[in-house]
Amino acid sequence: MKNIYKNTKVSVKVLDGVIMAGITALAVIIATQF
Amino acid sequence: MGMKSRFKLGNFGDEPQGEKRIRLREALMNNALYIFLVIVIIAIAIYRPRFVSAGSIVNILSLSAANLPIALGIAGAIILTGTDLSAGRAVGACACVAASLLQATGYANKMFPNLPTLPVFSVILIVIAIGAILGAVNGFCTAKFNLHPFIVTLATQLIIYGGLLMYLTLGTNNGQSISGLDASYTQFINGSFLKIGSSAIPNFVWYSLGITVIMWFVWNKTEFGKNMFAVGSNSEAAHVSGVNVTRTIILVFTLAGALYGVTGFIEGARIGSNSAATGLNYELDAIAACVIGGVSFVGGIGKIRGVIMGVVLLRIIFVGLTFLSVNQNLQYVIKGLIILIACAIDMRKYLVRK
Repeated sequence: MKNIYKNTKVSVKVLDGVIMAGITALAVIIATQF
Repeated sequence: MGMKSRFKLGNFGDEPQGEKRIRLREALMNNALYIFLVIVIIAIAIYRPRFVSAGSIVNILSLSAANLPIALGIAGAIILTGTDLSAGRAVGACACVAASLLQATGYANKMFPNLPTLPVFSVILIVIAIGAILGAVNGFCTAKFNLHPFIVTLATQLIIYGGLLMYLTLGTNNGQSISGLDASYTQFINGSFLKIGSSAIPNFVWYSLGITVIMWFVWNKTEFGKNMFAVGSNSEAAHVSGVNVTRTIILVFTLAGALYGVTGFIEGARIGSNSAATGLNYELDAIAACVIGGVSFVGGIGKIRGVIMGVVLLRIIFVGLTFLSVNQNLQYVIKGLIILIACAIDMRKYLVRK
């Protein structure tokens, strides 16, 4: 079995963006439910 | 000397501060999901105070305990850089078998009317054996044919589901849900000897806790546990070091299967009415809990406390969302986003390390 991230070409900066965008999206979705 | 040292400190003062900032940023990014989830939990607790009542806490504890053994099983497969998509179906199959063997004697729709109610402990052993055999098949196909567990377990989940549907048509059941369980079974699982306020903590919470302690011992203190992490980190290096890779993979999946058997036994009585839908999508929750808890898809990385934290956090969030009356459909979207973010954080950690 191989590490599934082994051939990834994405950079840490892009991942930071993805993480922040994901958390923002989650925050917006949950905030609208209060 | 004093001036000199002060000058030196002042001169190099910027660098540690910069490093500190980078370290802080790293810590924030790596723990972004935890921080966010904790903020959401606090916010829900403020808006809905009943969320932190004794009844709600016992509910969260019970739901977490019911899902912990399956998550511990899947965590082993993820540590081997694999996964297990058949887990939910295996849980469903074990739950239905346990329920069918432990129906009350006088129950009108008893699946096997002539079967006496078996002793609870013998049924535990039967379902653990069934789970272990299912897991061993997964492990054997993965290790011997060098297939990715994703495809192996995708195939076995269909086989298990088909087998379960056929099993449910046996006896007088005709594919109906299995209910009317014997009191010895429901009491063994749902009975209680401890209360928080007026809410009783069901017995299965303690069983789950016991299993977690055993799994901690297996992962950290046994040769098998060390071999599992070695194979997960680098199977070629483990093989060269004398680790029997095939045996380790088969054993990890067999152990996972046995844990699905335990989960099935618990779920059988917890749910009370078991059908082919029992256990559906349990593996997705368990995989999500593992990833949130820091069990890495890179392989060879994961801790029992991480799995516990993942399971409990995920459960708290979903009980909290129910308290907020969030639409069930939206809850799927939220769950998906949480898994994606957890995977992105896992991948980020890997890239930074590289």
